[in-house]
Amino acid sequence: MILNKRYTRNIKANLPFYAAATVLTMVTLLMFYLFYIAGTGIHAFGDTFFSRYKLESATFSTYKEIPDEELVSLEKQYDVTLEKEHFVGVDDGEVRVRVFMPNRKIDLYEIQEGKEPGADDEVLISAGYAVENGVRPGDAVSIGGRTYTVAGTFLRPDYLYMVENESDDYKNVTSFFLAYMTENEFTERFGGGSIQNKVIYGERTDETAFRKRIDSDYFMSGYLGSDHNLRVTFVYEQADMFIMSSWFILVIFPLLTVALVCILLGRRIRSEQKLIGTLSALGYTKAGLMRHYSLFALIPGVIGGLLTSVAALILAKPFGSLGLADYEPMKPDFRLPVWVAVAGVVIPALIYYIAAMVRVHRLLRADTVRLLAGQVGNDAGGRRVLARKRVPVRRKFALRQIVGSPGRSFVIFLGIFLGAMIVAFAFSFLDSVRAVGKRGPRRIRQLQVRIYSELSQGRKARGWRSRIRASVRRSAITALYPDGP
Amino acid sequence: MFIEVKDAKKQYGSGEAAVYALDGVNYSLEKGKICVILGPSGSGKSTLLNMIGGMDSPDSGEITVDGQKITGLRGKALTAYRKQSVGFVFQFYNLIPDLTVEENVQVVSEIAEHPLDMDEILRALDIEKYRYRFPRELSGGQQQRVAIARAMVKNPKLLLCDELTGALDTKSSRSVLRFIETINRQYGTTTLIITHNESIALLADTVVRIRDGRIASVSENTEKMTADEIEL
Repeated sequence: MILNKRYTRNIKANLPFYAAATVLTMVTLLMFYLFYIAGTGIHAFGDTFFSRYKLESATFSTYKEIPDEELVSLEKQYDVTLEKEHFVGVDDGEVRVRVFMPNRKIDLYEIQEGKEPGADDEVLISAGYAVENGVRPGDAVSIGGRTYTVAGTFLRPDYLYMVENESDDYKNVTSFFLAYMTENEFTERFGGGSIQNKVIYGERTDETAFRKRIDSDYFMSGYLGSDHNLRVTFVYEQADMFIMSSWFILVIFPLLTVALVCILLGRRIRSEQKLIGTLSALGYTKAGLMRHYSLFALIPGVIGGLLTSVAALILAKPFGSLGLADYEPMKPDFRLPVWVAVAGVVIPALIYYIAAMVRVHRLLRADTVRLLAGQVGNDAGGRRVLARKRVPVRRKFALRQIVGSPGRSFVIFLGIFLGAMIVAFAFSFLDSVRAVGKRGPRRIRQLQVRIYSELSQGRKARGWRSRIRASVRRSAITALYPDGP
Repeated sequence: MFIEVKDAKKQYGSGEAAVYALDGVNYSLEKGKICVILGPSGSGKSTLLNMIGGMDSPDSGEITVDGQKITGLRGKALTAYRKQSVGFVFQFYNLIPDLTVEENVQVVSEIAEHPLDMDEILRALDIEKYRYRFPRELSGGQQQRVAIARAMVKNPKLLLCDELTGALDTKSSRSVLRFIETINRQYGTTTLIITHNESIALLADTVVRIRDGRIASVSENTEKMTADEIEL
């Protein structure tokens, strides 16, 4: 169709509009894509890593050691996998090391760089500490006054967020690390070390019965389920935070953007009503005209969607890695799922297509004569506002500019709102990053102590209002600081 | 009769503000004739032309063109009538700005059932040399000739011209009228021209005068002149 030649020429002639609509579509979709890719990537990594390296269901310790032969019968009776873990904490002054004897069944490690220790003077160290302090295989580290050669670095599933103690709430990869040495070296230096028990529950496990049995026979002194273990849960929490952000962004930004572009498209089509009237008078069918203008509308949707997919492929890894800066150096596969990429192209394009179709359909419901005269859609009631009032013409004019073109006014307000939201979002993000970078965990800790002390210093409760306030304060303190600040 | 309008009425507004654009118009025209409709602004001549062209419909009355009753036509049937039977030349040309002269004509020729040879029409209208130009690169007269070419290329039975020379200088007007004369003679196209210009009436077979939505007079032009003879 000759009429199709208009597409490229019209884009050239109205480049600012198409560029703005495309960029707007792209920016908002990209925000959704990046958060979604980061979230799903981390989640998928967690699932695979935890499964492959046998993440514990729980760690527990007992006052009475469970005999080795009893472990087997417990495993059978309760459908669990049980293993004793031997470890020892070594305090070297500025640096503290937790040394493990390698497990065989639960919480296994994955070598990130280098190799297994081949001699008693070789160790594996946790990857986060190695990266943070620039320690590479072949370098030397000191553990308890003895120097070892670093054979390699590792990750293990129950230490993906490296907190030293369970009550800590911020990572420590500067003065704390994990290490594996040969069984021979471990036994020679530390004997059996300390023992804690690791368990993986099976599908048929009655967890309560198992814990009761352990407690009654061996006197449980501590129990930490992996679903309450910060070192584990932070992985999924980060993933969930990204995924929730992506859906929040999807609801707010792309929907508003699509609405904005639809309104702009509608206004562009309305501005072509004389041409639509002419083509209709020349014998073009309604369906043909709807198709012609709808294809115009596809352009920003398709180009925006495709550019977003390309940008997402390029930016997904750096963006996702930024979100994992606090974690051990995990390597999730940040991948844009094909269905998301396709949906990102198809959905906005389809909405624009339908919006244009509806607009042309509505225009063609009017008389051709009115279309030719450019009169369709120009009869908004707002244009007659204050018509019979004695008000200065400047005010009438200003007011009619706003209420006379409700679509245009809405687009302007929506544009301002969207712009402000994006700017505010970006600045809050920057601010958070800067705050963490500058003040660090120490400042956050100080803040928590201050909040704790302020919450604790409530006046003596008198009257029912004060008593409720005091009760709420006590609940808040308990929830925030179960073990004190 | 090729065109027959029976008691056509069209009212805009209601109550005290009601205005009759057409107030019981009866009109007919033989096939192959040129008819000029004269009248002041707001007399209803454009409304009549739009109704005959299938772009507007009367509130009451009946319009028949070449035996086909066009009042009551809707949707595809109305589009087919516009596409096959009517060539429309707009007062302000209404060319598609982002298509060249040739493409503006092709836009219609490619949907027409029996189109005329486009090159022949462009030659006849002396716009062949502008075929790759865009409308904005042409003068008003040249644009009007492109609009006529676009209307004629579909080989319509009926050519409707709204204020054909209203925006043109004398030289361009004469050139356009000369072509109208030629196509009427060559293809036997029934032509309806609405205008303010009394001189153009000398070109017509029939002259209709409209005033206040009613036909004031219909006269046969016994001393028909050519486009070169009339004084514009």
